[in-house]
Formats: sequence, structure tokens, C-alpha cells
Amino acid sequence: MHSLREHFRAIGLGDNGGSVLHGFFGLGKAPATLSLKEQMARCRRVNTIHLNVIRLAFDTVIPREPLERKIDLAIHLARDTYDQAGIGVCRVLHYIIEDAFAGLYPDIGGDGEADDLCDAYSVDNDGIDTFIVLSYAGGTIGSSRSPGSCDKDGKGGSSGIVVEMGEIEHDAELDAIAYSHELCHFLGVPQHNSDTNNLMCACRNKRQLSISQIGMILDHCMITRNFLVEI
Amino acid sequence: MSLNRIVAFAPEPRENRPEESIVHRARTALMTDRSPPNVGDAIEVLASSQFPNRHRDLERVLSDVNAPSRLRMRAALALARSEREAARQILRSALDIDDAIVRNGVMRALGMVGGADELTAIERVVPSLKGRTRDLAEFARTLISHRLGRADTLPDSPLEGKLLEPGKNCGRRVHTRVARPGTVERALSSASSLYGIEVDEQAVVEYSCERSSGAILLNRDLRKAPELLRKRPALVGLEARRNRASGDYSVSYVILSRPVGGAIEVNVHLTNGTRVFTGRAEVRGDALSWTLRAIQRPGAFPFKASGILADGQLTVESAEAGPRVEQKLKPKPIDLTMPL
Repeated sequence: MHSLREHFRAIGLGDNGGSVLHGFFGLGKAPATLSLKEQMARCRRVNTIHLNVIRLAFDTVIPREPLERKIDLAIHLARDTYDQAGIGVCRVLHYIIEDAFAGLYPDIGGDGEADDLCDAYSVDNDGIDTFIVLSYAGGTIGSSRSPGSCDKDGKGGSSGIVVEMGEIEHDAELDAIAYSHELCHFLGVPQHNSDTNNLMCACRNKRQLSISQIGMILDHCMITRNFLVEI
Repeated sequence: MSLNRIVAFAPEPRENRPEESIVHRARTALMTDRSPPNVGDAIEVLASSQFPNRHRDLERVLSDVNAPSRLRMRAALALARSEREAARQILRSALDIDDAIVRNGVMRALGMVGGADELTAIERVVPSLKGRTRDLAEFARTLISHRLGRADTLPDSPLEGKLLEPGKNCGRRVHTRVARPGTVERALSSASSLYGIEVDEQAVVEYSCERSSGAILLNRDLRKAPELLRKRPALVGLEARRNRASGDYSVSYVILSRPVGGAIEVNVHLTNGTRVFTGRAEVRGDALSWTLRAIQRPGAFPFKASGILADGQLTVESAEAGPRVEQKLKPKPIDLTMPL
């Protein structure tokens, strides 16, 4: 059995990775009862992903608390959703692009602007960059290239997802599911509207993944092969 | 590509709910409740419907000072997709709204549909604007001036900036071809705004480069090129990016041209106004020969393309993009233990 400290080190948080809730779970507040044992098991899985949550102009949002709780729920549901694929959503790091530096990106006007945001910003690590914007115009809640690129400095291929978590739009659970849905597109899974229980159907509150979809995800280069596995 | 707002608004699958009932629910939501949940989705439902006088419902939201700013902004953008004359009038009077977020939406919408009266109205308010709203107002002005072919109202020509061109043998080819059957219909039906141009359906060009693909939609007026482009500014066309997951298209770039001396300057802007490519075109007999290069900015990659425009038909002779050479910007880490 590995210690919590060893888990911190193994996922790149070092000895000063913060508290268990903020550092190891990557949450501001717990959206539900959390199990440290389960999270440690997630990080020991063969297949894991790490996330970078990048907020756009959240410094202008008053009160900010509801949006932060939406993000917590999105991370929590993503963990739950990817558990069924045997993939551990492990390290989650948090960032902000403050309003003064965000240009026109907090309010995305279309997929081209979303791709441009992913082209302009990135975090230097092996996590998937997930941008949280305040509004996304048009008929969709977010966007991702499918499959997303693993080379953050590569040409063209977008290396992130963009999801709206606005002050006004939907209930928190729908935003959270949109986050997992776009993440799944990034990991190479196409839209799948024929199964209304599937995460990739444009349906409310459905989070199932099929065997073939799990296979697609496991083929994606952003899946980290873990060396902390206990045999 | 994503959870669709219309489906999000209607809990049951779409086929079980005729559009009329969803629209009815959307209108009820807009009239009775300006707060969460899903009122933003109701606006999208209404905007994408053919409901007559939907601009009246959208106007009510836009002018409601008690509604959240981003909801009002969404109403402004939705107006750009409703009946044009009525929308112009509503958007013109919304220029006096004293909320920067709402005004940003109004400027974007006016850029898509505005005409001569809206151009005058924007010019009136520009001196009092700051920051992003001013940038969006200038871009709206640029778009309308190009659409109307008016050189006298164009903002100053932007500085050229440093250009990024792929090195020899390090670029990756961009493949182009005449659009296949179905592509034109899909591109035209799924693009939310065509920026007031009439697309020449015979001249649509498809492109693909690694993971990216899309279509270039040309203005029907270009059939009169090169004379037209040599004489006045023009909205040459749009680049609509294809979403591989859904197959839908979304307008990403607007292609503009203006005469400069004996040549023609071509600029390609993102839909938020950021200029990403620039180049020149020269008249050669009955045709125009053009080149485009990428402009240096964070995360940009080198790009070079050249080709011919003749009889309204675009031919891309060469197009290649190189590996990214410009550093991306870095977001600032935050500590969740700090109070918000």
C-alpha cells in the first residue's frame, strides 16, 4: 500500500501539493461525499488522465462561488463517468486567465474562436487543458476537436476543450455533463445520438459509455499509462 | 459536437416534441421568467425557429435592465438571425444600452446584419467606447463598410505586423477541392450567420489539413471580380469550419478586401475581429492572383497560401502550414485555499 504522500509525488504534486481536498482531489468544496481510498485507487489505475481547469475572466464574476461549485461538480461527475471506463481522473490543477489578459475569449462567438483560445493558451504539463468560458454563442454549450491533439505545441490540432459555465444558463448538472461530453470528444469519441442513455447523445443527464467508446478513449495519446500500479 | 441547447431545453428527445411546442415553451419561459434555468436555451430555440415576430420576444429580453447581462447579450446575437429589418432597428436603438457586456453582443450582431443607418449609429457612439466594446464596434464598422463597399467609412488600414511563413519542406499541405454535393447545403444550413452575403453555391471550396477541414463560402458578387475588388472594399467570403463530430459548420473567419493603390489588400479576421491572415491580390487580365500569410501572435503557426480567383471561382494553387513557432501564453495558477 502506498502512502498519500507517495500518491502526491506520483501525480506530480510534490511534497507541497496542498490539502487532500484542494490538492489531491482538485476540488474547492466537496460536491458529495468523497472517498480518499477510491481516489487513491483511481490514481493507481493503469489508465489515468489529468486535467487543467482554466477559468476565463472569473475575476469579474460576482458572486463567484456558484460558478466554482459548478466546476467542482463537473470534476466530480467526470471522475464518476470515467470510472465506468476504468480510467482514473487523477490530478486536477486550477488556473485563471484574468479579465485584463483575456481579450474577447470570455465570451466565445463560435467554434473558430474556441479553437483560437486553445491555440493561444496552454499549460506546460501532461494534463488536458479545459477552458471554462462565461458564454458560448449559438446552439452548443461547448466545443472540442475530435480527437484532440496531444502535442500542445503542434500545428493546428486543438489541444483543449472549451465549455460554457455561465452565470445564467443551465442547471449545474447539465454544465457538468457537457464538460464530460466535450472531454469525451477530445478523447476521440464521436457524437452518438441513437442511444439516449449515452454520454455522447445530445440528451440530458445521461452518462453511459459503450465498450467501443471506451476502446476509442483508451487509444488516445492523452491517456497516461500509470507506473504506480499494484499487481 | 456538443450538448445541443435545443435538446437541453426540451427534456425529451427532439422527435417526441414537435418544434411548435418547444417554441411555445421557449416563449413562455422568456415572458414569464428571466432567470435560470435554461432561459438562455429558450433564446436559442426561438432564434433557430421560424416563429413570426420572434424579434419582439428577443427585444423584450434585450431591453430588460433587470435581466442578467449575458442573457441580454445572447438576445442581441439571436436578433441577428431573425427578420433583418426589424432586427436592425432594435439593435440600433440598443446602442445606447449602458452595459458593456450587452453592448458587445449588440456590436457583434450589428457587424453581421448592419446596413448604412447602423454604420452611422456606430460611428456616433465609437468615440465614447472603451476596450473590448470599442474593438468590437470598430470591427462592426469594418464589416458593414466592406459589405456596403464604402471606402469612406473604413477604419484606418491595420499595421501589417510580422508575418509567419513556413520554411522550405517543413510545411504540411492543405488539400482543397470543389465542394461535394451535400457540403454546400450543410454549410449553409448550419452556419448561424452568413454576414449578409449571398453565397455563390457554385463556387464553394472544401479544404482539409490534418485534423481540420471546412469550406470557403464566396460572395456571389465576386463573379464581377476583379473589377469590383479593384474599385471598392468587399466582403469576399467566409471560412466555415467543419465539426468532425457533428458534421455541422461554424463560420470561423471573415475574408475582407480593399483596394490599396494599384493592388488589393486581403485580410482574414476571426469572428471576434482578430486579424489572423493578410495578403495581397493583383489583377492579371480577367483574373486575380492572390497570396495570404499568417500574422504573428501568441500560439500562431506559419501559413502561406496562393491562388487565382477568376469568374467567381477560387482556385488554391498552393497552401501549406508549418509547425507552431510562436509561444503560447500561460494561464496563472490559482490556489483553491485562497478566499474568492
